[in-house]
Parts: sequence; structure tokens; C-alpha cells
Amino acid sequence: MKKAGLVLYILVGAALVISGFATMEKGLKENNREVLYKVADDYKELGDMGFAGFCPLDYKVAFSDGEKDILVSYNDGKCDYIERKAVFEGLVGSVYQDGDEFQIVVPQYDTWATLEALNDEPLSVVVWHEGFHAYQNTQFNLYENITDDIYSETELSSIIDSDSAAKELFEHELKILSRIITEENSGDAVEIAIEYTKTAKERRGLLADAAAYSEDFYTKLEGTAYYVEAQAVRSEMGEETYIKNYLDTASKYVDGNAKYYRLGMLECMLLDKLDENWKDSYSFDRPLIEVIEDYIR
Amino acid sequence: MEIVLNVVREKIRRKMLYITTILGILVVAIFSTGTGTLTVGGKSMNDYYVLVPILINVLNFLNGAIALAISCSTIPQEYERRTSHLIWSRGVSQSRYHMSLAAGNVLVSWISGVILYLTLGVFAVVNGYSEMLGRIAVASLFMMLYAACICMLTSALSIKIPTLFTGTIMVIILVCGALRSALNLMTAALTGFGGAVIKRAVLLIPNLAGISTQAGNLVQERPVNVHVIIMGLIVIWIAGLLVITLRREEA
Repeated sequence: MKKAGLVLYILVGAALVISGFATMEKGLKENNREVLYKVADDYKELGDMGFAGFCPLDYKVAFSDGEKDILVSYNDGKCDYIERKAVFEGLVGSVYQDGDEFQIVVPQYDTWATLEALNDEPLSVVVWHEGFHAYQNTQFNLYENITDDIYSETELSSIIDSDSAAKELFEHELKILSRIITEENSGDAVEIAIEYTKTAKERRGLLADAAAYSEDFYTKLEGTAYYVEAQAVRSEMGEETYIKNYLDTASKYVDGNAKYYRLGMLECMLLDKLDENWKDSYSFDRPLIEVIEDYIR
Repeated sequence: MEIVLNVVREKIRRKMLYITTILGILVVAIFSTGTGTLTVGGKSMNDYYVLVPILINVLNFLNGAIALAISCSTIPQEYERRTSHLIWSRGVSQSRYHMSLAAGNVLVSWISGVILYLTLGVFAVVNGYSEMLGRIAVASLFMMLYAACICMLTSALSIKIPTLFTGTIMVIILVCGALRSALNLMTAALTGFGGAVIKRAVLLIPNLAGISTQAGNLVQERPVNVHVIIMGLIVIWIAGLLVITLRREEA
């Protein structure tokens, strides 16, 4: 190749490299920004879902790649952000406490895109879920109630999953509760509540106090957040996805901690049937099953 | 130019393009005529606007595989047949000779890709979506970028590395490049020093999935990420530089 040709080739390369740097997205990427816009749109439709003062965008959202976080404050369509070292390593959807402030931490959209395509679970819905945890902790100091008596989710699951009698009753509880979402039984909320609380008490009798206490805690913590998440999916993805991903799986027992998410969501749905204003007076200070019992006394 | 055209003639003689045509018609026909059902997340993909970006992904990958097969043996075969010596005797430099052969590979892969996209266009018209033709035509430019990345990298490697190894390395690059989004997800869970190294290694794989995604975005009238396109061009440029600078000792 002649010298002039080589020089031209090098110049083209230099131009490409400069263009590469110039078009590289720095700071808050556009697809992450769109996630927040989507949450804002959902909020216009869903509001606080009955949980007074809840709005996921009241909390800062950190988009994390496991090495650095882009921490965004959303305010009326405007996104102010700073960059910081990641507060969690790896692929994380969680809340992070920074002083008195709770922040939402989610993966970057580029990382989440494959999961979204496979599971029909948009990243905006994760913001709703984690945003609800930020709300639970900001308004009701839920994490402060965690004591040594509460097992970790892994410890609790391994205890419950290894007890076949309790497992069977748990499955039965889910089945009873899921009648609330099937049309033919939706009118019998009180009857379902009576049958459910009876079965739940029977199963609790088989558990040690610490296990029962831990179950109540996770059902309240995660179940309510899952309930909120499901409503966000319903609004964003439509009825078909909501039914397939949340209602159709709700009555199925699974090893691990997902069953507490499902149980809590179904308890919230039962409470919605018993009294649509039940959330007005609920402050996450007692298990959902106690609230249900109040309505059947 | 004569060398470039000679590569095209050679590939046509070896019936490579017939294989492409048949494959293209089969793939597009299966998903476009109701003979096959494509389901994503449990939902049937019947809407052509949703189906086309998925087909673009499939066709680009298929054409990438064809580009790999075309490019893998072109340069080694020239040396095996001693055609190279005839070229040297005419005073053509090795850089220019390699670049012409690589350009021939790119041209053949583009012809093959155009055939695949033509079948897509025909089925769009048959299904009543003729208004998409313009966007499918522009999307074929992304196919050209995709195929050129594969052809140039394969051609560069084939100058120095035996055909079998070139093929193996390029299959890995093609598959990993087409699954870049999934790799991003998998490596996101990794932590520590090892995780940081693997994440950076993934960044070195050409973002072929990104190129197809931009073509899909174009068809669906969504914003196109120019950075992904420029990064694709940089891959071609680097591979081109290797083609120019690498030498075969037999010469």
C-alpha cells in the first residue's frame, strides 16, 4: 500500500476514534432516563395505590454497573445526577441507606435488557418494588425492627422447605387465598379470610416462634412490595402479562423466599376485598394476617 | 479490483450464494407464513412490526455465519494454490493483495445478505406491509456493517492462523457478539478483580447484537444509537489494519 493511502487510512481511524469518544454516553444514559420517565407515567395512572404518601420517585435512584453508580434525583421530568463508587457489587436491586436517606439501587438498563425480554419484567417495575422498600423504611422504619430473632431469608427458607407437613399447609394457604383472584369465589372474602386464618394458625403451630416471626416480617416487607410491583406491571404491560406472571403463579409453592412475596401479595388482595381502605390505617407495625383477623372478629 | 471480482466469481462458482438464498427463503418463510410460530415470553409474534426486528437479528446472525464460512479459507486457499505467486510477479504488494481478497469476501457476504433481505422484503409485501420496504432497505446497511466486521476479522486472522483455528475463534466471536446483551447480564453478577477483568474482556467482543438492535430500532422508528455503529466501524478499521500489516512468509 502506498504511503499516501496508509496516511489516509490512519486519518480515517483517528476520525473514527474521535467520533467514538464523542458519541459515547457519559453519566446518565438515555435508556436509564427513559426508565424514570416510565415510572413517572405509571405514577400518573396509579398514584400511591392507597399507601399514603408513596411515590417511588421521591427517592433517589442509583443505576449501578457494579463498579459505579449514577445516582439520580428526579424532579418533574428533570434528572440531576452524580457519579459515585458502587455501593453494592454485582447485579443488585435493593435499597441503600445513606445517613437518614434511603436510595433505590437497580442495574443499568443495558444490563437488565435481556431479563426484560425474557421475563416481561421492565426495569421500571423494579424501581417500583425497591421504591416501596425505600418508602417502608423512610416512613415506617421497617429495617429498624430487624432483630436477631429474625432469620435471614435463606435461613428461613431452608427451615420451612425442609418441613414437609408445614410445606403442605403453606401450599394449602396459598390455594385458599388464591380463590380471591378466581372469579367464582371473589364474592366470599370473609369466608376465605376465616378459612385462611384457621389454616395459617394450624401451620404456625408447627413452627418455632422465631420462624413464625420471621415469616410475618418477610411477608409484610416483601409481600406488600410485590403487590405494588404487580400493580405496576398491570398498568405498564397489560392484563395478560399481569395474570401470567403474578396471578397464575400466586398459588404455587416454591422453595426459597418467593413464596413470601406471593403470600403477602395475596394477603393484600384479600384485604382489598375485605376493605378497600385498609391501607389508610396500616403502618407496617404488625403482620398482615392480624389485619385480616380484625375484619373477621 | 480484478482480484476482488475474482473472489466473487470463485464463491459463485462454489455455489455459496445458492445456499444463502435457500436458507433465507426458509427462515423468513417459516416465520412469516404461519407455518411456524415464533413465541417470545409466551406471546405469539404475529405482528410484522414486532417480528421484523427479530427476523433482522436472525438474518444478520445467519449472514454472519455465512460471512465467516466465506472468509475463512479465501486467503489460505490462494496460498495453497500458489495463485499468490502469480500476483507477486505482477508487482502487487502483499498488503494490497490481502486487502483485495478481504474486500472480495466482504462483497460476497453483502450479496448474500442482500439476498436474505430481499426475501424479507418480499414477505413484507406479501403480508401487506409494503410501507416497511424503505426501512428494511436502510436496515440492510446494518447487515453490511455486521457482515463486514466478521469478514474483515476472519480475513485478518486467516493470514497467520490455520483455517481450523481461525474458524473456531471466529465462531466464538460471532456467538459471543450476537449474545453480547446476555453476556452483559451474566458478567454483571461477577464481583472482585476477576469480575472486573471478565467485564472488560466482554467489552472487547464486537457488539454484533447492538448492530442488529439498531437495525430493529430503525424499522420500529425508535432512536438509533450512533455510538454502536461507530464502534462497529472501528472493529472493521482495526481488522483492516491487521490485513494490511500482517504478512505470509510463503510470499
